Amino acid sequence: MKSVLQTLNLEVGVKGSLVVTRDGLVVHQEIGPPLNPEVVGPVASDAIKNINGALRQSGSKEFTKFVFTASFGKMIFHETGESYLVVVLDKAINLEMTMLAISSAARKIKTVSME
Amino acid sequence: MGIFDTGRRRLEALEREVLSNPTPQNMVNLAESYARQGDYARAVDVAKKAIEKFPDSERCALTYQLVRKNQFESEIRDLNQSIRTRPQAQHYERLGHIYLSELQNKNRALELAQEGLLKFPSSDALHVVCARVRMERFHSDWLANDAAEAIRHSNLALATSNSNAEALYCLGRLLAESGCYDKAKPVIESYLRLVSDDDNMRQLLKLVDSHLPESVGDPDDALAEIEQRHSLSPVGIEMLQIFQPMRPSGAPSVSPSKVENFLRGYDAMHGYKCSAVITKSGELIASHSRGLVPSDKFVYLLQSVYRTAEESSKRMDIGAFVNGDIDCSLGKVVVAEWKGLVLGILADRPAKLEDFRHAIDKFQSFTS
Repeated sequence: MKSVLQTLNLEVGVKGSLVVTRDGLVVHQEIGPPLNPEVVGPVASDAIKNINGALRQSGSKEFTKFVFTASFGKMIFHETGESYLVVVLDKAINLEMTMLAISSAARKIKTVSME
Repeated sequence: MGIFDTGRRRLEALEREVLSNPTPQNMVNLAESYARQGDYARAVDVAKKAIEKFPDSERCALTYQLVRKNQFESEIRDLNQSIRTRPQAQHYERLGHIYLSELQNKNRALELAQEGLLKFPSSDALHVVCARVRMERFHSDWLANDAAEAIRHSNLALATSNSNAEALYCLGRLLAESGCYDKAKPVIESYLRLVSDDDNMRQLLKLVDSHLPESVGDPDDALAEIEQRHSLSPVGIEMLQIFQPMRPSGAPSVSPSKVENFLRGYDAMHGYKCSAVITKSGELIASHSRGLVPSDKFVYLLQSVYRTAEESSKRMDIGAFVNGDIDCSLGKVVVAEWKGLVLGILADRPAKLEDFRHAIDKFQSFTS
């Protein structure tokens, strides 16, 4: 899992990545400056719990993918079975290209988790 | 007739199109065409005009950065190499300046400055880069943390060099805009002793003098209020307008019934299920549903998603939420913030991304 995240972090525009379970536990993170690992983990964890809670209340199952863009960055949450791959990115990137890398990483993490 | 003639004709057609009906897309295409031909001067000129004309266009901003980056390519390469092998403060300072002032890539400038400050914490130039970027962010998103960071970095720059004019400039402006007129006054006066021909700052000082008795005690409280209001105070706005034209902040006044009528128009969208518009504080303006998903449940979902994403953005220090989408068993939920209003649309297959983009464009036109 560590090598998958480290490889992903080399993609253009990726600033850091981590794996978080559906109930908000950080499994592994590759987060370095300028990101603060003590901030990113809890933010990702809270976002997953809050969004899935709201979806359940609305009659939906949990999300498979969540992408949001802010003024100066992006975050992507990609389902990997029992957990989510969370990626922090620059705002101005070619998302279609980077999504291929993220989806590929998510598949690898899912495979690793099932072993 | 050679291929160059065809290329030249295409370029001329693009030039005519931009002259008669400039859009972000055709201006970007023209700048890219010039760059491909190696005519960077014209490429930069068009790209600069594009961002002046369409300041909110991400594509225009990216194109400008790219064509400018080509001009600075070798210097950036050399500086990055120096930073990797034998980093010195001036390498970070020069690279930070290039990204901030030449390429207008504020994010990268801030990252470089923060990285540089880990190694060279007393570099006033790097603190100034941080202060300038944070101040611009504050003027865009009105987040208290950006202003607080700008003030902190300005003070740190002045601790190293108390005659750093740029640090005095940032500090003076921010203290004034947050209502700390008594603290702003000596800072602006120090700045004007160094830069006596800055008419804008002289004007600011006059305004500060005229409001001295109204000074607030604690800048943190004032900044928190600004963040909640998503805007400066009326006096703060007057001060900011000395330096830049103010774009209207806060939600446009919209009639709920007109918004509801507008949302009904989404019925024609492939796979459409429901939609809603709320304010940034979560208040419902209008909603519409085809009946497959109850309106109230969707509104609750939209409020939760927006609140979560906005809070995450702030905690991550990446500015204010702009847009997002969620894939779930109900379909795809797309959320977009525009001029203080938050639009949410839920649609399932066969709705495609272009359908959502088109729907958001329609909403932006409707509210503009």
